[in-house]
Amino acid sequence: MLFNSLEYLLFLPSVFILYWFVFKHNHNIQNLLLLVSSYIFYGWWDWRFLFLLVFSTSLDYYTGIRIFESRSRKSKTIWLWISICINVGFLGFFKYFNFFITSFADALSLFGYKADLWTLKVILPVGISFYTFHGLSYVLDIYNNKIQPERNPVSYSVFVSFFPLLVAGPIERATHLLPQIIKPRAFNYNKAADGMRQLLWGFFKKIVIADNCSGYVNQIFEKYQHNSGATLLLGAILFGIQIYCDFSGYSDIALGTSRLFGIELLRNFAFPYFSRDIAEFWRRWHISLTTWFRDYIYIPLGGSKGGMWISIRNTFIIFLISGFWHGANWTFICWGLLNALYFLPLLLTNKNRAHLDIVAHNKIFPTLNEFLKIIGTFLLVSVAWIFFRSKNVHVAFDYIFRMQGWIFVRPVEALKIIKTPVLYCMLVFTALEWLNRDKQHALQIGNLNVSLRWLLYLSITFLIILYGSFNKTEFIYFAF
Amino acid sequence: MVRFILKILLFITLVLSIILTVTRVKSLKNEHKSFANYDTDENLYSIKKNEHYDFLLMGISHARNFTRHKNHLRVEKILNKKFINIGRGGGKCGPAAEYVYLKHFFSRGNTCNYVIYVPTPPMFFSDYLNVNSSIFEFEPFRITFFFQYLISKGENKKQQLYYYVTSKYKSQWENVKSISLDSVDWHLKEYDTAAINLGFKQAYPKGLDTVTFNKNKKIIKETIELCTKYHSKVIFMMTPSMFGKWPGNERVFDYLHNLQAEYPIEVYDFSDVCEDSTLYFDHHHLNSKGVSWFAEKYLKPLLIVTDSSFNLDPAKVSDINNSNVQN
Repeated sequence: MLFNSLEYLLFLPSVFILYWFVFKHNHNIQNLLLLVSSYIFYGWWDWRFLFLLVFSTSLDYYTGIRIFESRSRKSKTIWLWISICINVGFLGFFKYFNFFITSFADALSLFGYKADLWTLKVILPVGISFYTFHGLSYVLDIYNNKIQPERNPVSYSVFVSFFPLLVAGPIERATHLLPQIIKPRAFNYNKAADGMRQLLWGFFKKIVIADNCSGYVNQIFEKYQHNSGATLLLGAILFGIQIYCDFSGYSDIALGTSRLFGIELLRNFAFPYFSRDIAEFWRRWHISLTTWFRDYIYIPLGGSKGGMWISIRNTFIIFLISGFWHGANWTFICWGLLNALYFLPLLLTNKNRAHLDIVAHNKIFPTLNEFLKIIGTFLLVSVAWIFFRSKNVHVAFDYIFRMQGWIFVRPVEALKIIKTPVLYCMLVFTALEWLNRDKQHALQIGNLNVSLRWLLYLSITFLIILYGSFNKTEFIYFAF
Repeated sequence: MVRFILKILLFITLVLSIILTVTRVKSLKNEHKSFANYDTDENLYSIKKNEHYDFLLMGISHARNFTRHKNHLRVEKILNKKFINIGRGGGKCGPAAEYVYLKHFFSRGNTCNYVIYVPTPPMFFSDYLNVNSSIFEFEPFRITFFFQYLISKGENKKQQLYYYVTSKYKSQWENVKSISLDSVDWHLKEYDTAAINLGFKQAYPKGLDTVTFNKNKKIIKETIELCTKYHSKVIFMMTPSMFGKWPGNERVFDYLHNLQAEYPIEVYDFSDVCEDSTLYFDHHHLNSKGVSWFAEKYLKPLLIVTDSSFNLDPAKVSDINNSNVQN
């Protein structure tokens, strides 16, 4: 089921009413309701893949207990590797099988061998990367003695399958989410009201900004050979806006929905396009994945403690894995590599933690220096997104090549591709994001005067109704 | 909790009330332009309140053609009768929306003696006509019509009504003006089989699709029942085309003839009564001269006879008017 569908608009209030009115006094039944709703939510897309989800959940539930109960370290390690191998095996099969086969065939052809290897027509189960990482973090945390296993299968299943985060995250940690699922929850008006605001903002970002940008981006990227450099640059920028609004919009809807049920999820985005360098950008973009890689790969590899070369090696490993996590295509690997190259100068000059605060804190406008840094970082990120959006590496390089040299030709002409109302919506979006960059989300305006607040809610709702794109476009991150 | 739910309900009510009110206000701007039936292809401008007409025409472009280009005035003059045309052309409208237009017409206290339905076969077989999203793009916004369509059996209602509302906020709406020409005098230069075949491909995207046909048959039946309820006699009358009968014509007319056993309806097929290219502006639309010719030769005799002698066939109609034949 898509968040941006009529089905969800009926599904959410139904679950909400059952949860708070019918099963209000029985916390275990509330959890069971969340589990059943989550399976309906997931099965709406393709019920056959529910079996995979249930299997993955059962596997980690069982291995978690086995790891905890094993007396020897060796036995714990065996159970851990069983879990890792099966989880990663499934992920690898569904997501990377064809990639490895075709890459292997391509490599052989370089040496003159023509390999006719078979590929599979496998459908990628939605959310597999996300729930696999959920499960992995759980067993790793038990192995590292950070948590004890959850014995109640319903509570554990809700942790893995909770519908707001099931298909595109945020990638939760057992240490954060499980305690909230285990203990009884009470309705909190302020939390629910803010959840609704976050939900509204998420819909605005997805339906108005991302889905409108998607049309322009498709138009520019599909016939990139025929577009001017300025239009190509605009295409890259619009894709940057699209992917941010699409994914952070999804996260906002997920977080907002979750708060309606009294559950707080991990924050996934912290206004990344107001970053002053790439390091700050990566602390603010897809936070739940970045911190996952940091905690379960970067730090175990030695992090930055083994000297500069180890630090550089680990940084490259993390970015390459991050790229590969996004999809089985060399474009994603190039995207990861490019980001690692962006990061390298900051690492070498030890400036990767130079911007830990909020830009222009307590000020309305940034300084010129801050502004230029923000623009520079945004442009670097946008260039990297070209790899993310392109069909293959060749197209990405060709796109960038064509963008060069002609960059300053007719920039105003290029802008005309965007319809005026959409341009206004983008301005509203940028202004609200900027003004509330010190908050959890851009519509966290509970402290505003009530009339002003309602005026803002109504205006945003009207913008969604009037200028939204209601073609049930899937979220980009469903593909990862 | 109750406070939260009440606020959500209040918010939803506010949003709906404001959007309907503002849309209505924006719509009034064009309604004041007072378009005549022939000034526009949109129907709601013409459907007023408590009016009586001798007959009402409905269908797709072949029905609308009796009104476009001020043909409306010519036909009214020839027949000496007042009529309203709610047919929609341009590939925009199928039987489902036509039914709701008719329902809206009657619900506003309007009446008519006859409903003349032009049953062009593509409208029975093409599902596109019923699901076209932009069908109401240029129609004035009426809250009653909005709800009538909302509770109807349309297949793409959500999208169609969404465009119905949001189109009033677009610049195209601000710039709506009369589309009428004084007449269409040009005529078809040559019979082009390739163009006809291409046209058939577009008109029947899924061929003679039985599923769509069955759906539309039901709607046609409901349309007849609606007319019966409001004491209007239904006449099905196919207009001529250069190529004669359309694909699927036989299935459509078999069905209509079968309906005659159930309802007091009349069915006439004039598909192949005219091969004179000077009376067409394309292969299946009569030009202004052709419309006048058809009104004089077929429509007039069809309407001057009384209900009791209505059971005519095209040959008889032709005989009645033999002296007025102009080719």
